[in-house]
Amino acid sequence: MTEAHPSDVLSGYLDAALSPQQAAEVAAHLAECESCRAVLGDLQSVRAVLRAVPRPSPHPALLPRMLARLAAGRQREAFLVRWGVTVAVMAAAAIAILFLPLAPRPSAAHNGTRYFRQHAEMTQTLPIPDVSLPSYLSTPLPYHPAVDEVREWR
Amino acid sequence: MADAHATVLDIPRAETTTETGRRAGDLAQFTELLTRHWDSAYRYAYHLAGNAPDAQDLVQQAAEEALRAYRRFDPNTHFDRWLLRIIHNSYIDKVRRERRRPMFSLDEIRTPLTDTDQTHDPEAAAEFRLSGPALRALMALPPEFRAPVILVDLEGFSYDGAAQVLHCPVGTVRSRLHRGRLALREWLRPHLDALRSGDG
Ligand SMILES: [Zn+2]
Repeated sequence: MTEAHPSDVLSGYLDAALSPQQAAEVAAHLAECESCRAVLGDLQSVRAVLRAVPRPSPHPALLPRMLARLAAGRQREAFLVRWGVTVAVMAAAAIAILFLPLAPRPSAAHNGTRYFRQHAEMTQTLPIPDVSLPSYLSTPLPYHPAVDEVREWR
Repeated sequence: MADAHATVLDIPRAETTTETGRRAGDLAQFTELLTRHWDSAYRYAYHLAGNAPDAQDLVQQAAEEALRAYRRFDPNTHFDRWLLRIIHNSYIDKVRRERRRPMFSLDEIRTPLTDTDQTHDPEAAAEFRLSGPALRALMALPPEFRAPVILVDLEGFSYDGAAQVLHCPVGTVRSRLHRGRLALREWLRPHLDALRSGDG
C-alpha cells in the first residue's frame, strides 16, 4: 500500500480538486501512510502561510491616472480618425510654409522677361499654333524652379 | 442623382458616428471592468515583478494593451482572467527580454534557502522590498512555478481559473502548484516548524 505514495496529487487533494474517485483513493492511502500525512500537513501549512501573505495595494492615484490616460488616448484616436484628412492637409501646408522660402525662385524684376523667354523656348520645341501671346500671358505658367536656371537669371 | 450623391456622402459619416459611439461605449465598459479588477491585477503584477515600480509599469502596460485588444474579449468570459493573462505574458516577455532574473531548475531551488543565501544579494532583496520569508521564498521560485502559487494560494483562483490565466492545461497547474509548494516547504521548513510548535 505504502509503495505507491500519491505524492503528485496531494496538493490537489488538499484543494479538493480531485475527482471523487481519486480523492477516495488518496484518503484511503492517507489513513495508512504516516509519511504522506506529514507531507499533507506541510502542504497545508505552506498554503496557510501563503494565504496570510500581506496583500499589497496599488497607489490610490494609479487607477485614476490610468483611466485618464486611456480616455485621452481614445479621444486622440477619435480626433485623428475624424480630422485625419484635415490634419494631413494642415501638416502638408505647414511643411510647404516652412520650406517654400527655401525654394529658389527668380527675383520679381526678371519675371516678365522670363515669361517671354520661356514662351520662345516652348514654341520652338513644342510648336502650338493656337497659343496667342495675350492668352499665354494671362495664365500663370507652370514654373518648375531649377537651381541653375534661376542662377542664370539673377 | 442629388439624393444618391447625398447618400454616398452620408453613409460614411453615419458609420463614423456609430463607430465613435461604440468606442465610447467600449471605453465605459472597459473602465468599469478594469476598476473592478484593478487591485487583483496590481497584486498579480506585484508578486510577479517583486516590486512596486515594476508592478505599476506592468499593470499600466497591460491595461493599455487590454483596451486595444478589448474587441477580441468575449464578454461571456472572465475579464480578470483575461487581464491577468495579459499581465503574465507581458511579464514573461519582459523576463525573456531582459534576462535579468536567472532561471533556476527545480533541482537548484530544492536547495534550502539559508540565511547566507538570503543576504548574499542584499541589493536584489532591497529591490524586491518583500516582507517576510514567505515572500522571499516565493520570489525565489521560477515564474512558471510562482505564477500558479500566486494565483491559487494568494489570489484564491480555482485550478480552472489559473489554467485560463496561464493558458495551460489544468493538470499543468496542479503539478506546478504542487511542486512550487514542495519547494516552498523546504525553504520555509524552520518557519513551518516554529508555526506548528508555537500556537500559530
Ligand atoms: Zn504514502
